[in-house]
Amino acid sequence: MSATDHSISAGGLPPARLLPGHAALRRVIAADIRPGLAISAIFLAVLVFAGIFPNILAPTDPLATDPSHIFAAPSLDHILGTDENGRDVFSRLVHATRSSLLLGLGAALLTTSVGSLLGLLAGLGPRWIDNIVMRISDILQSVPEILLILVIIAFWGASMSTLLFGLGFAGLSNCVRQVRAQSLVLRRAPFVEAALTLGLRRWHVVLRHVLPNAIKPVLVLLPLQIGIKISAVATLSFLGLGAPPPAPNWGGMLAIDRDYVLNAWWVAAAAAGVITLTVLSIATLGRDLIRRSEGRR
Amino acid sequence: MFAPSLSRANFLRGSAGLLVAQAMGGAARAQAVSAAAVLYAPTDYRAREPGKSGGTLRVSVATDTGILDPHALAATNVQWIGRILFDNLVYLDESGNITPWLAKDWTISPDGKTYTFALRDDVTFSDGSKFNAEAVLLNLQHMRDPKTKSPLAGTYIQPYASGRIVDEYIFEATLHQAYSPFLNVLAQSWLAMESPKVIREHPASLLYHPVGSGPFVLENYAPQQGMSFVRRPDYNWSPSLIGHQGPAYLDRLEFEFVPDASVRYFSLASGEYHFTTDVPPQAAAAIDAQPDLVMTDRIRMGAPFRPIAFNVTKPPFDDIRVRRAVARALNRDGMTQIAGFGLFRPVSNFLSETTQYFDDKSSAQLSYDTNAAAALLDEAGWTGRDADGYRTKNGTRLGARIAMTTAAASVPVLVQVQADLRTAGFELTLDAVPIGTAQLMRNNGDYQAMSGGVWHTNTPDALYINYHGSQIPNATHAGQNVSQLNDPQLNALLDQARLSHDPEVLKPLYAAAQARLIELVPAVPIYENQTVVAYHKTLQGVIYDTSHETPHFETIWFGERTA
Repeated sequence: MSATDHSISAGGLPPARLLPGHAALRRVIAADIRPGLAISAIFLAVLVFAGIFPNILAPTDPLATDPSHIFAAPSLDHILGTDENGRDVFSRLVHATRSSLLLGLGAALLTTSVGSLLGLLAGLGPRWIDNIVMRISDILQSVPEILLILVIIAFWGASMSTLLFGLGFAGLSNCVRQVRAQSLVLRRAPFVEAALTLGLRRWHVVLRHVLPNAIKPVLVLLPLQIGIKISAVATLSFLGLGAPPPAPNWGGMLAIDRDYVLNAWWVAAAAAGVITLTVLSIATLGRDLIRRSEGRR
Repeated sequence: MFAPSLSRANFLRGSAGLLVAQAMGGAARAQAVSAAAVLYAPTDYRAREPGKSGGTLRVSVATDTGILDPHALAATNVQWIGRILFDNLVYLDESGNITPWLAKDWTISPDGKTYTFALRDDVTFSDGSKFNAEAVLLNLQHMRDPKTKSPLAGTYIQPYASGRIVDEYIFEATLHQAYSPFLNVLAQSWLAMESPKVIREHPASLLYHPVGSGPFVLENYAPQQGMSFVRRPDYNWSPSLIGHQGPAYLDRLEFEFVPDASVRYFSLASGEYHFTTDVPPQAAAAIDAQPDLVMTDRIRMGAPFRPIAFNVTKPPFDDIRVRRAVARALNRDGMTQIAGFGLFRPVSNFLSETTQYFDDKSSAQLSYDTNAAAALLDEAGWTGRDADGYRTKNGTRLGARIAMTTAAASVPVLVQVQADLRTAGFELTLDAVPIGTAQLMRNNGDYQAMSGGVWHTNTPDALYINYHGSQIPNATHAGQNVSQLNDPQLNALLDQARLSHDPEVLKPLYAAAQARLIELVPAVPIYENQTVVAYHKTLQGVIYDTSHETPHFETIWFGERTA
């Protein structure tokens, strides 16, 4: 008991009391927004802005080449220097944001929506549907996600739509399993049985009572999914399977500069930095959501 | 002390016509005299002083060829493998003339169809079998054998009909028709002589355990890792031109495959390797800055790098004005800089400058000139402009798709092609296609343009290989004429050139063929096909192959500070 008392007296003081007088700061701390979370949120806000209005942030044409200034070091003209074709690195990073975010968001939504639907069908539908869905899910789970995407791209070629489809398709089985497991629990929950006993229609019960509860953990995981998908997009472009040149993409910039680190480390560093920060920020945000959903602070 | 005589700095400073070649480390200055062509000094090809025996040389190489049978190889840039393990019938001199090697002498019949070779009688293969007329016969048969799947050697001796063993050391080759590049191609590394015993008994083993008569013997080959060779102590039949007889100086050669460009540079600079056969051009400045490293870049004979080859049978490139406009819209110097970092040399011809009978009288017609490009497109009727700034005709946007293989190392150059054409109002779309798909497209002629490459061969017959009407690829013939060009005038010139050995006849024929190609623009030549090697200064006796400009390892020796 005394040990617990110690810990409370040492670190357990309400933080607000340590900083009297700063009302705004106190509110932030009272809402338990950690500095990491705040930085992540700001970075993501900038990214979203870059995705929507790239030209405001980086007015230089990301495709404009200049063979006489290849691999120029960072300067006032080019704050992150230029690349192998003399293009502005900062501008290319900014202009690559939209496709990265859209692909990440789109693929995560695709996985979540299709996965939830199949999970509900498997959990609440007849046994034979459950069997089919789960066996397909088993097959998908036995193949590494990246391999699955590579196969899809090999068949249909690299384009935005195949990338979106491939990324959405991979990772489906996790989502299916989660929603199925939740709905199996929920179908025997007292409130669902009560609703059915009251004579509500089956589909109404599914949509009003089962789905919202079954999908909750999936929604909490959505931000993490987006982060995973964005890094998968970067991986694929790194392997040369992203959008074809000259369109800028983060993974592609990193891949090409691998051969030129000697001449221009800044291209690889900038691209790697943006990828890392993006995934890190989304993960931070996601973890915070999970924490809150679990009632922890 | 002798090093490659044409230093890079001089190479670049050389004014349009006259290049001064400087023998590094010595006061001697040789002049490479030619109004147009780059010539390298004879000392680049001949060992000048005897060296010291001993030592193990460690070399880094960019790519693994996968197999080691030269008759089954087409890989570019690694012809030194052949020189390490094998010998050829003949060897070129620095001006492209044929000199003896395993063949002491030869005669050609007046109709150009019969070649009689007098062979050396003191040559043996490392498995003990003798080199004689039968060995030559078996080798030529092996190159032609469908089972060898020869991508290059077999094609190069296509006119060869049959061989006859006149006596043990006299061999007679009969051709279907006169083919003057025959001796040139026989000097190429991929047409080397392999052990007749192995060819007869188990030819498939040659893929991984080649047996030759060369200065080194294969000790070990580990795919994707490396290979090692040991000196053959009784070797005594180098071509006399290289200025060295007897066994190689080095005891052992250790090659390792280092695909990563940056790693190739760092591992050379750190001393992990003494030599690299593939300097990444982007490391040029860093290597130049290091006083104990020597770097040389050399132009290879044949066809220079052409990033874009037009399909002249399909719109929009069936219109010669559009092809010319594209050629003139490309900033050749810019692309050369992007790919070569100051090491590469731009060229506006379909033959490289070092190739025999190079003639650049009409090269100016392909020079970078955006006004000329605009005028040509206007003339071709592409006078409208759409919202994105691209030219239009009757509401159609001017543009084309170019198929590039997914592994294209030249992506930055193609991106520059695309950017230059965008300025000219032409929309070029880059399609990355898998290599198998590219092969199918080639065979079916189903493309508007293809990303081209280089074609290295030691004769101006490169023009025949790349642009003769008979070389259009199809399902049964893997031809190199991806431009699908079939011009009667050009075909006739190239056919005639294959009939003659007379320089007085060949010079005007090849000059006319080059002029005709520049007129037809089946592709756009941008920069020379160059090999760049670098090594530590302790190494002496580095000389180059007259056919391939790749290094010869048998004359290399360690100077004072043996690493």
